[in-house]
Amino acid sequence: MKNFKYFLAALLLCLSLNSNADEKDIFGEIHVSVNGLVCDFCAQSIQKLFNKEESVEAVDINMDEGMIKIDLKDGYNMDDNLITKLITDSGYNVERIYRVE
Amino acid sequence: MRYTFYLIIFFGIFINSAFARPVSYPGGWTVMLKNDGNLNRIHTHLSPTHKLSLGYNLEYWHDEEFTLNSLQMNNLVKRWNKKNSQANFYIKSGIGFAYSDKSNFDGEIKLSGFTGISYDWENRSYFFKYQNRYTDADKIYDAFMQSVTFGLAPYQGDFGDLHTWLMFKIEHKPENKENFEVTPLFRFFKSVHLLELGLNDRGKFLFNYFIRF
Repeated sequence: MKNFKYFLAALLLCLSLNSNADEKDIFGEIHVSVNGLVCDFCAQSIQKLFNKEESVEAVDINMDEGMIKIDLKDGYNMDDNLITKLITDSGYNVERIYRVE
Repeated sequence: MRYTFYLIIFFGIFINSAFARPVSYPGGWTVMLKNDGNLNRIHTHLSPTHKLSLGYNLEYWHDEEFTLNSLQMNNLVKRWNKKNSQANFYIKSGIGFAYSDKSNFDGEIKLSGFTGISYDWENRSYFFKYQNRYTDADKIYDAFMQSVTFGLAPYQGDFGDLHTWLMFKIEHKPENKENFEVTPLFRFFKSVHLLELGLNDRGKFLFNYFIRF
């Protein structure tokens, strides 16, 4: 019985840690380095397409660094394929995607 | 003639709009108002994709005294995206009809069409653009024109700031007696609005205003 309690406690601890790991994947910011981001209209195109996505809380753009920052709503994720598609559909190219935990 | 001019001015003032790039983002509307010593123009278009826009173009040419109504299609043939620059190659074409006020052809309506290419390159400090256009409206008008524009940004604004460009445009119309025209101009843009103000070497004002939705 004692061993079973230890086993149960260890199992719950593992599940809890695993759950925290999932949250880190889901929540947070995504930074995307974009090629061709040289004018305000370019940046607006990207911002408007991302703002149509249900998962997006806010989009911030740094033209000095050619970088966009995507804030996701709690509980949402956005995979790299969708990010790349939205930027390509806007007429630009993804250089690199960074996940910020 | 007078009514066309007033119509253009009306749209310019009350729609408060004009143009930017020939193609926008998917689902994006652009309205462009252009006024210079040669013509008054409204062009509005919708971009179903980032490579295509479809729209309506209305022009009134002062000296030639004719109105051009066209359905216009702009194609982004190629875009070069680099980390600190962008270049684009477009084909722009339109088909419609021309209406003349000029004495010889007063009241005549003719089928018309135009086509041309446009190439631009820019980074956040420099801008270059070449474009040309051949327009054919039967007896009313038949001419080729081309232009180059150079731009310099005195500072680099970030997203949402007021952006300012000092620009220099040279137009060439081979059929005209005075076939070169030079226009220094300022370009300002902020948010969805773009405004160009200039004065050409013949003392005629340039006023362009563009908005994107």
